[in-house]
Amino acid sequence: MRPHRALPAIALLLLAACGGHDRNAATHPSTLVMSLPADADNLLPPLTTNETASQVGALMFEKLVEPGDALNTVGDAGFRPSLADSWTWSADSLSIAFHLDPKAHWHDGVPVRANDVVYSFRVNASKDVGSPVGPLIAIVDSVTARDSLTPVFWFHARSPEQFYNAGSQIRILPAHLLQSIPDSALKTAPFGRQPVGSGPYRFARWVSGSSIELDADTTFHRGRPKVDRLIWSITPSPDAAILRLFSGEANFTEYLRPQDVAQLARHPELKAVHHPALQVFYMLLNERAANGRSPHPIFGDREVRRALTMAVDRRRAVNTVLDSLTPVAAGPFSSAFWSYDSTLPRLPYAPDSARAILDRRGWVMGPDGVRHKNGVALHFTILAPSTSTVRQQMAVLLQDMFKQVGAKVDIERVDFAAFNGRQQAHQFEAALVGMGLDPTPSGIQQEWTTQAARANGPSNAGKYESAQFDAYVDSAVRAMDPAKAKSYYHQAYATIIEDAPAIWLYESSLVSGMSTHVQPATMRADMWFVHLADWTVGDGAATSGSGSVALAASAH
Amino acid sequence: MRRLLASRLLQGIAVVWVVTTLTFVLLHLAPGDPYAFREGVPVAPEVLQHWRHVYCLDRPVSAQYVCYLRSVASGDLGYSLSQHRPVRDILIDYVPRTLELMFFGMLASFALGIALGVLEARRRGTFADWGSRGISLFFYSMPDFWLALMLALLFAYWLPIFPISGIENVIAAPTNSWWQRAGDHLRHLVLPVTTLMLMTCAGIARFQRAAMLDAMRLDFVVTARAKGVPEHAIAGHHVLRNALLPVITLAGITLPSLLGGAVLVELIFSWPGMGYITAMAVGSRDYALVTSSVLVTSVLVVLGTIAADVLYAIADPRVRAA
Repeated sequence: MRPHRALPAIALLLLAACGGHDRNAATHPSTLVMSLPADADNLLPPLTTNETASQVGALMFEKLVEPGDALNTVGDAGFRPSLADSWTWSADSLSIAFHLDPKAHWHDGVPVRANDVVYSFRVNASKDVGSPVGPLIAIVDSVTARDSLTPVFWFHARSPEQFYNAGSQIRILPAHLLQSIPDSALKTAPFGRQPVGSGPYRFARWVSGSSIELDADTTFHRGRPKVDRLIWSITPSPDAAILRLFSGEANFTEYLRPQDVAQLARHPELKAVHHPALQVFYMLLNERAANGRSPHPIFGDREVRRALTMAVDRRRAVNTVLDSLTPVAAGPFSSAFWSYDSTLPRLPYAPDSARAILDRRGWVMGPDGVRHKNGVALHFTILAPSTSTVRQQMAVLLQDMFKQVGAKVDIERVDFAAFNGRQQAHQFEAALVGMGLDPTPSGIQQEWTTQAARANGPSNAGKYESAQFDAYVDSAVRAMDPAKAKSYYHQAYATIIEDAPAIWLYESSLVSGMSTHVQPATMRADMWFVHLADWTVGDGAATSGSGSVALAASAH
Repeated sequence: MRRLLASRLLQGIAVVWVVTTLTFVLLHLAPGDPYAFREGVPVAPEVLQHWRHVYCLDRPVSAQYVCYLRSVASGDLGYSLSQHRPVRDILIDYVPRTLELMFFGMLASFALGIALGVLEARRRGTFADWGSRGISLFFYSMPDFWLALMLALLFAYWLPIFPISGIENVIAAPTNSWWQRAGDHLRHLVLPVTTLMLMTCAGIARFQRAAMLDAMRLDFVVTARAKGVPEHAIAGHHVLRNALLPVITLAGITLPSLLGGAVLVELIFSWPGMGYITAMAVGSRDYALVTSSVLVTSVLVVLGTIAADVLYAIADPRVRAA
């Protein structure tokens, strides 16, 4: 075909594209288009490690029970039925029998049965699979099928969170489709790209790097989801993501940057929704020197750490970099935890006291405005990830606040992988860390105890050690009585706050942007998306002039 | 000709090997590894240790390199730890999209660059010459991410003519007919291709202009003019044909810079191609995927350069003879 003859054909295609969407618009059901920064990795839940895949998996695969919105993890109070409609404890509490909802079925029509639960436990515990859930279900000795609807979990020993670990850690998988595949071959199995679940949404399609689509399962055993289609549209650039929201190409974006929130005010068809997230940000102080053995000349001293904490006006820093709705963190835990106590004492913002403490500890102010002690300057480096604007801005503010008390601070920006690698190798003095938390307060044991520090692994990278803190945490984690556990947690929290192994900055409070036609259900702190089946996308008109999105439900 | 081809191929193989090896070593020397703990994902140390062992990550870099070479030699490009898929499957998904972007990007760049070069040469010293050179230099000087964002802002948000990003309308795609999907896909190509075109056409235009001016001074042009051949025929049939020869070489040189520019263009326009996936993989220290992406990219560049050399040899008998 000669070029001039091809042009009309291309023009026709373009015209068809513009017109085609408008014609399709009327026939589209309610759709939630969510802009997310990264594609999913693998949709087989035991292999899932990224956020997008977790979100898709949560809508396709069910657990036996779901924690309530209050996130209680001790005993079975507040848990909601999911695949299991009821459960029975044995007299000695060493086994729990779950009764499956007989109406539950896989999206290929096969009913969900107890052997699916048995298989799912085995796969998650398998080293060949390497599921992140594996260590969390180590307390379970075995799972058996009493009958086709009754899987029974047998435990090595009683523990306060045994119900949570058995019922809410594992997503149940279809044994009839997977059990013939060796565990070591699961990672390359086609199932990870075309999964079959039993949840409120069924898999529709996945275009690598572009989008993942789920359709509502109209026969879902707990009732039809309210939104017909969910589409995760992958948009790595945050600038493009916000433009997509403003233009109506997407009607939900998970995370708005502070500058985006300000712009959102100019779009009456959009709204910002604040919701809690289980993530705490802090400036971690490495208590060991570069050789890894001797104490750090600055942060090895508990009093100096406390003084530096008191030099920081955390409320002002958070208000400046984020907003006044973001809570200042009390410690390495979330205010959404059942163990949280709002009466916990905190180190105050008191720069004069900070200066006095530093004077007492022998840090003498030099003519250059920097304190010195035994020839060592009060001079350290904050490591910050170059990918996080918020943390870089926070580093600059902290630098200025430390200067007021005579500390000289440098800021080192590195890419995210290097940032994580440096922490893991303990090659840092101070680091601006964001720590994702388990929904259970017992996660503090894995992250902050002496055992974690001495394991030389990724946890407790600042090498904080306190026998008192360890004892309180051990007692809290073992207490069967929630009231006693809360009391122990209170004392553990108070201890770590007083010891100041980090300067606790803020708890993550996500701000999502969405069309005013989208009515979210409760956005749970650990997984905002867990109730997506209960969201609604109301009637909204609107057609983009470009015809790029032209349907009632998805455009604002 | 065969000797030329064989020599270029051998050089190409050496270049690909050096580039891939350097990438492998530098990536492994950088802090972090695919299982450096990730914020927000609490993973038990024993699980990390298990996976590090499975993928040779607990061995010295030299042993990992041997592991890698062995697996590549057997046709296995490895397993991507960030995507949880065999690298081969990922490349099958992503390489064609980059090739598509490159094809249309080069086509548009050369079409516009050659046209501007001809215009500038024929209107040498006039306002059109200065204006065209100034404008193309302006776009050439722009940072690629800024140019891409401005185009998105202008033509997708303020003037909503084209989609902001992606490769298709995710809402309508499942119900669209194939021709609607093809048209929709073309619309999604417009802004990324325009960005690539504006980034590279200035260089081509300058090259083309200089080649045209050189050719215009040659004897056969003077003869044609003396014989009364019209100016447009001289420019089209005599000057342009000769001035196009050096531009063939430029095609081989432009490909790497286009591929480099494509990284940011793909990220900003959410175009899931090689640049996009490689940038993601570097961030998560996905050794297998980064090394294989570099391998494929360097092979593409080498093949592009060889194709340019061969085309040049075909077009110019003097090169063949040499």
